[in-house]
Amino acid sequence: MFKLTILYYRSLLKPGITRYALMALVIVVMLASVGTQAFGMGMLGAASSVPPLFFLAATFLTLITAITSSSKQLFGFRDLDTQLSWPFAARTIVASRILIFYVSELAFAAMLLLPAYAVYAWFLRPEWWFYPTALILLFVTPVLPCIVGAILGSLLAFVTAKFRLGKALEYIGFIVIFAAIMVFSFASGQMTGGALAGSPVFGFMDKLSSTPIELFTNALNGDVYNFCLLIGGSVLLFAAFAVILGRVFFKVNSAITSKRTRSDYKLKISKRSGAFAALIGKEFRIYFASPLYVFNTIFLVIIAALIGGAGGVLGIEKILSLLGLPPETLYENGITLDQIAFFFPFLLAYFAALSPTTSCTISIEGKRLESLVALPVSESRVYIVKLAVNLILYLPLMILVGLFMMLRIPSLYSPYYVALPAAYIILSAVLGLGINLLLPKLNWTSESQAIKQSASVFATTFINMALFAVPIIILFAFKIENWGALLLITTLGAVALAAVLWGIISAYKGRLRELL
Amino acid sequence: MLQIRNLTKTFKSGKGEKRAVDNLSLSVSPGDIYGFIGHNGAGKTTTLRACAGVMAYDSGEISVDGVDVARDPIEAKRRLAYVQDNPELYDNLKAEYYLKFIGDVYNVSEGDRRSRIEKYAGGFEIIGNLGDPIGSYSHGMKQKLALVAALMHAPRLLMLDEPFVGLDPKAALTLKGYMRELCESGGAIFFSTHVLDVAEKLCNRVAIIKNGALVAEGTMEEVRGTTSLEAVFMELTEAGGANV
Repeated sequence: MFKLTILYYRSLLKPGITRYALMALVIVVMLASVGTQAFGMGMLGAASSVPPLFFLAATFLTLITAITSSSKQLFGFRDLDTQLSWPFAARTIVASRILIFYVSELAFAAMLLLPAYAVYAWFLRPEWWFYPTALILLFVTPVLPCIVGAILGSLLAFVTAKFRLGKALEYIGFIVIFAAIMVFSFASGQMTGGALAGSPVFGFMDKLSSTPIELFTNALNGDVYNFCLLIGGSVLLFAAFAVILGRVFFKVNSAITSKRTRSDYKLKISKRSGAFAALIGKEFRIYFASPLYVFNTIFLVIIAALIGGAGGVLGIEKILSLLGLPPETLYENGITLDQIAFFFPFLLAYFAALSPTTSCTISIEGKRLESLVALPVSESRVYIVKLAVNLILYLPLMILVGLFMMLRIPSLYSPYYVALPAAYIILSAVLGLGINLLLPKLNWTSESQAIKQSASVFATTFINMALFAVPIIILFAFKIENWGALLLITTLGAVALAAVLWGIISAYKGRLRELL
Repeated sequence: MLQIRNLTKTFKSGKGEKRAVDNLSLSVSPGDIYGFIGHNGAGKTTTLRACAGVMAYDSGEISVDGVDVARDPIEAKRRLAYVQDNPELYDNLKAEYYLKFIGDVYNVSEGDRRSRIEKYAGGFEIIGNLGDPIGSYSHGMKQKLALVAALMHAPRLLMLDEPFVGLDPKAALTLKGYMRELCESGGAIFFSTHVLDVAEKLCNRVAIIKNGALVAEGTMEEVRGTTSLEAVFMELTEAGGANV
């Protein structure tokens, strides 16, 4: 099992220190970002709540990623036939896939929990046994979400394979599950301070989320019984999952990977389109054919839209109250509504532009890139089409949300509800394309390698984070007084930078051919 | 139809350089079915890819129907079709959509699309499967689909890399028929193969490549002489074989 797992990870390695340095930087920035939030909570005297809260966040995050990626990571990988032809028992291959899947989810959990532990240790100076206990608890955190996510993700993939409108059903399924998770996380006691615990449904949800958190918190605080219960339960569950999956793996794999065919096609010729329309149509079909691609990208845009929509419907003050930041407290400290409204464009822009579709748009072509290059279309047209997909998906929604907010939350900075997210979306789209041309991953055997595990996606995320941080850092470091000017310069600067990057990309001829 | 002059391509790797194609020159005229034969790693695919405009080369000139591939790659690509040895298609797309996409990119009229898809997909017996996702296709069916897509826009030059691999005997016979037909209508075929029998029966011109360089080139009669193509190939590609 370990030989196969090591083979998998070695196949991901590529020469060149740049990509690893970039990945290391991204990881450091993400840890620092999470750590900063945790530290802020520690400064407010809530250090003891940090690990449980981040445990809950890690559970939800790994659940969501497990649902979207499980079918691709566990099943349908291209080298399955090759591996089956080797002298390994089938269960060894299955165990290796489960281990790879678990490790990728563990990485997400570690991103959240390690900084949380660090903050806890910094403020509360726990006994020596805290450290090994916390480390062991880190390893059990993704177990239940992995199992639940794998089951749900595989069920959805099965539906896609079996039914004519399976793809649409799969998307509806994902939306329903994610909406349920969002409602669950909101309704759990952690968010509302148990305010909704009185109602039957939310009370149940509150209890459901409290139990693992209670176990985790007690275990972290030295309760040996809860520690053993959590570890033992997780190990048993994981072992049971592995055994059951090992038994049904090939049936499930066939069910998920077999494509529905009818073989009764009657020739019909559709209306002719131009080459540009054909390329855009193809890009959209490829995009929507991959739920992993969709949810890894547009999900954050939807979050941004929901934040904007909620802000517009409920108003800033209500949102602040729900987040545990009573506006009266802020007003007493001399912070005005306009100053709070200043940060809204950045919040929208951050979520809307963090994960552009272009960050893996070249990688997703994989070995088909040669067929694309062989077509009588120029490189620049290919690039424009890929950018267009990103902009068509992201811009209209965010412009609508921004306009809605302008009407509902008028402030000095209202125009930037539209302008700043739009500028950052354009910048991140061009940036993602450039980085993916620099760091493509074309030899993937599973889409998740291109969409979630590639250096290009990591680097784009990191650079986007840094780009967001720059104006905020300038604001506080230089104590800028004219916040409106800062917004204007940031917006224009983002567009200008996008133009410069586009100039560089389009000037470099023959890049796609070089990648082949 | 295809002119290759002094084509050279070197690949750099951590262990040094490998000259995949070494000063290669050949010419494919309208009406030719030109076989390109060589051992594994001889440089056949590299040559084909350079001609198709998907790979840059170090030096030399390649022109397709009078259009320089390096100077005007888009125009050159409009005149040719290239089918790889293991065509990678879009598994999540339906075959009918893929053919529509190709038809749109090459600006094929709706009438021509209908008649050509009916002819070629019908000939390869995959019309009934065109409504299915490409991911459900076997390797041979993908090969057939790639060939239909290539033939659909009536290329002047058809370049095929090991086209008979994965095709059933009936489909292979059908493909040979289409190749002859294309050449009789003024087009040309340039293809690589390991199946020397097929090359011997089908091709009017042949080139043998060894370690990136041509070791034989000419009409089938000139190259084969009084023996078989297989014998000539073995003699030339053994170490120290003389050039023809």
